Amino acid sequence: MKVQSNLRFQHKYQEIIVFAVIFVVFAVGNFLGLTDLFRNLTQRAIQPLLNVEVSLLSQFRNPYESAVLVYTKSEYVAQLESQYAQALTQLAELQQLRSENKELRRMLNTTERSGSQKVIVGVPIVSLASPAVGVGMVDGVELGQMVLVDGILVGTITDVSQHQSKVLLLTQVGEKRVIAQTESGVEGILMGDGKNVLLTQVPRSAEIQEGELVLTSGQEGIQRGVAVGVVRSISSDPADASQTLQISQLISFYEAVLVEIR
Amino acid sequence: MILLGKIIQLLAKMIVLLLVVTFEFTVGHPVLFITLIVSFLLTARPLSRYALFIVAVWIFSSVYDISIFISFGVIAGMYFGFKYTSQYLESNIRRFFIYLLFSLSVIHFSVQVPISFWSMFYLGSALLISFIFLVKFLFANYGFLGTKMQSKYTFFR
Repeated sequence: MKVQSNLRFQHKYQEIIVFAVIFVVFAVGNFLGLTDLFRNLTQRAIQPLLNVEVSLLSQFRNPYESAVLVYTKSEYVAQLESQYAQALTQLAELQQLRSENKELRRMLNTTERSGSQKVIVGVPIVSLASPAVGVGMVDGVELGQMVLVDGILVGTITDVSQHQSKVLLLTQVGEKRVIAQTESGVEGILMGDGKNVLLTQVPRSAEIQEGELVLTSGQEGIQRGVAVGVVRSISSDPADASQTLQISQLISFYEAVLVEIR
Repeated sequence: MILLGKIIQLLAKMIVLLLVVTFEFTVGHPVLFITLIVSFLLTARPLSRYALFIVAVWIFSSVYDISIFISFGVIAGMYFGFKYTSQYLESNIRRFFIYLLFSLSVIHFSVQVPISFWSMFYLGSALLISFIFLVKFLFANYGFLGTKMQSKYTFFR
């Protein structure tokens, strides 16, 4: 028993010594730089084996990775859809801005104004009950100013608040009376019947052609020569001393992108 | 003839070790490599044992691209730790797994094995395979390649 124990003890230390010698050999080799050299050679030698194993493993992984890829792609598509919806909104905003810009350019190019005249441009607030524009006192809007669309008079400012102004359209029935005249110089008073613009109080004796241009005559707050529309039809009651002209404005406040306040 | 057979057996073990370690390098942690080398060292005769040890240290260091001293420390520590600390922890399997997990943690931090689904999946699978291998071959009555185990302890003790 004791002999066996001694043998095991001897064997244990013999093993430890051999391992220590191996360690010293490795340490010396490392110190001399031989381990790096041989390791590089070994790595180069086993590289083909590694490549084969990697390709085998990639084939094994493919079904799983395809499933993962499908899942991540579906998430990606959902993200793209969300971004697409946002982009559509931005595009709509950009188109709105583009049309506003185009309108502004056209206004600046086509409207006659003196150099010192301030141009106020507002967005029409489309309300059938009370049409308004999105500019007010802070923008310099004053009571009685003209509201134009494409250079054509469509109404006047009747109430001004800080950031908004009410507009009385020429088509509306209201107190504001604008004096206008045809190209041939026949004057009348612009009135609205709730739907159309009418040039009333035109002398019965005046000869007017359909299609004639109607312009403002000029009064307080209203410049002279601002287009109102063209004569669409003439109606005259034999019992009446005057005749009424229906004016076609060709544009609409409700369809305008921007309006000019002058 | 017997010598030739032993040499062939030794070469076969070395090739198995090389294949296993290169495979494990592509998937993550060298669980099976450590299990195999320790079982080979435990069951081999002295000369084969030293040859296997040197080759194992060398290929492990080369494949995982770690310092030769870490490779030496992990394999020698695993082998000596398992073999000579049975008086502190009798259960072979517990002792083996304690040293194995310690070695794996050293390797994990030395090599920076990426933690991914696949590396963790492989780690779990390899530990299971290692457990089955140890139960079936190393710590049962007969060791790997039919070598008779010297240990009189049963597996779960």
